[in-house]
Amino acid sequence: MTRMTLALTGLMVSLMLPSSAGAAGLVAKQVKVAPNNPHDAVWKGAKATDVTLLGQMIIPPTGGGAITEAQVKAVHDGEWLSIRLSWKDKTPDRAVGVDTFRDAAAIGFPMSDQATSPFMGDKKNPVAIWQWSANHQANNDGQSEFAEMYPKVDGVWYADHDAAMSVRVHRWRGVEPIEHFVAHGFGTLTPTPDDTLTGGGTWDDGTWTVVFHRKLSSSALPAFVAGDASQFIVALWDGESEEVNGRKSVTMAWTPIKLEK
Amino acid sequence: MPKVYNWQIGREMDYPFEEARPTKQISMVFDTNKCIACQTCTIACKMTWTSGRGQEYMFWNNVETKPYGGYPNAWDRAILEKLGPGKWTTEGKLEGKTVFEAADGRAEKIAGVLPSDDDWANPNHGEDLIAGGTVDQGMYIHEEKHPLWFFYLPRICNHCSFPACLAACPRGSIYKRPEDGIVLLDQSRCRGYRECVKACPYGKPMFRPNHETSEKCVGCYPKVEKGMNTQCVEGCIGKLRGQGWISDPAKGNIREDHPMDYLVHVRKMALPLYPQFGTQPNVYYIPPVHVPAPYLEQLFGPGVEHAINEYKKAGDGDEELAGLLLLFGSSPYIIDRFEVKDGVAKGWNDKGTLVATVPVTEPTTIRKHYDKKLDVFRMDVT
Repeated sequence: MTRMTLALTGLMVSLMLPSSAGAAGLVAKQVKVAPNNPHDAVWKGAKATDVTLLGQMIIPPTGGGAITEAQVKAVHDGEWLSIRLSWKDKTPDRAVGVDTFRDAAAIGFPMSDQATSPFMGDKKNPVAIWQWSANHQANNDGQSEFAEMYPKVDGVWYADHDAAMSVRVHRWRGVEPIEHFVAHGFGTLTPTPDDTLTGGGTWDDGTWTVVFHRKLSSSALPAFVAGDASQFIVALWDGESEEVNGRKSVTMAWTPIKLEK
Repeated sequence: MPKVYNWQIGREMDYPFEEARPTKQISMVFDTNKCIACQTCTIACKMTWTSGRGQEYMFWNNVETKPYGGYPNAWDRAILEKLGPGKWTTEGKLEGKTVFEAADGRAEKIAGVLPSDDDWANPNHGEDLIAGGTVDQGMYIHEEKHPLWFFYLPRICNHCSFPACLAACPRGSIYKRPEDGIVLLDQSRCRGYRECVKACPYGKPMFRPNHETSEKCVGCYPKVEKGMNTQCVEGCIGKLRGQGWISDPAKGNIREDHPMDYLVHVRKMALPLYPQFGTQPNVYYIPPVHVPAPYLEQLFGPGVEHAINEYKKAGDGDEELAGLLLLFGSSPYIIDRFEVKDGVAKGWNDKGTLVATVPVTEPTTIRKHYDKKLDVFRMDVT
């Protein structure tokens, strides 16, 4: 399939499906302090918007679809924006091995006012993607899934340059629970810095709850302004269902988000 | 999907990209008859490239015992089962599906099998296991034919002409270098999806969990750029590995004085491993002479009988062939031209510098058991 037909397919799908959250969309209420904690009391007063997700069917490898619903809440305090994503998942998958896959979630915004594809943007109009992954979260929380799965063996010699190499690869690959990317469509996800993007998540009783926390105006686009509207997309990966890459659940259209003034 | 011509399967086939041949293509010939599975190649590679945390079970080069051995476990059986049966016509054309043709094109781009963590954890599983019956059948050393058999299969990345790993990567992290045909994986681009690990029918891209990226044989490109053989080729103490550039028969520029062209295209005695996968691998094998043909044909395709007959001529006075095989492992440099004349085999690199000289028959001197001058008896007389 050519790039053009792919783009058209994306456009058609987005035209056919109404915004999963309805016209009203998500409202980010203005609060005193936008929390960087998924269980802060502030969230109790924030109105939730449900989004519907489907398995990714556009570009091979297709698949996913293990998680079909997620709940989104947002608040801001004039300086920081907090978006909370929660979804049901029976098993927290925090490890990565050859055939072991981790849970992950991503939220995306258009980087300008120009309309762009809800499938990770298009060539001209990129999408900013904030991605959280359960294995990075676990490492950050001091759980080393890797050390457990692949214990160090006495008597095995490790090369001197190995530590330096790891630092280098981790700079490319990222180690933070939440990473920032820019995408110009499927297959183009590229890590780029965002100085203020942070956050994290927890799994409690069959539910993942993840907070994305960023300054309204950060080193990367888009810049959010209180009173203005934007829109977002969501993608979820269920590690237990071996979801990775394009095997994921995605929202099929943009959901509006408005920052209350 | 574009059509490409794969001479190893004698027909056109589907490949996700248009055919794009490199200026030069790295290739190797391994003589399985000489391999003793000493794993010197494996260690030469491992010490050079995969000695870090997360690479404990990573062997870009491995030597496995056939038919039962395999690293990762049962890699070939798994993909053969997935592809289903096929056959070779008398003209050497494949009637069956390649890894590109067997995929559904949606849920998977390439028909593949992702080995599990455990599958990588036994690199020498099946070592020295025999096939063909039990010892009760009798296997006397004086018997003319061995009823029981196994052989060693050294394996590295095949730096395929139509790499499945490259075709499977959704991010374009894998590329084939136009200058030498080496297939490399750009780790700064890799996001560790393991599509390449699943797609390569030879199980040669490997996942490093602590880096969350995949890695593969780099063809020792820093050495190749300097005209030198790779670590596994240079380190082979059995001198069973030859390395050089190989020509594409479609271009019609096969050179009789080139070691790889001569063995693969002229004599047709070095064969690709599992050509039916369709990736056109560039590591070629001289099949073992003692193994039943049906098994060898499954591994090396329809030219097995011819290859073995040709190979046997090296011991029957075919000086040119014997000389060329002796040039294997006789120089740290890649031999681009060879000549066997007056009992001496010579090899030159691509700049025309003589890099190897080997006598076809090693001169031997037999000394007397008793040395009168020193008044001693010699234990070793040659």
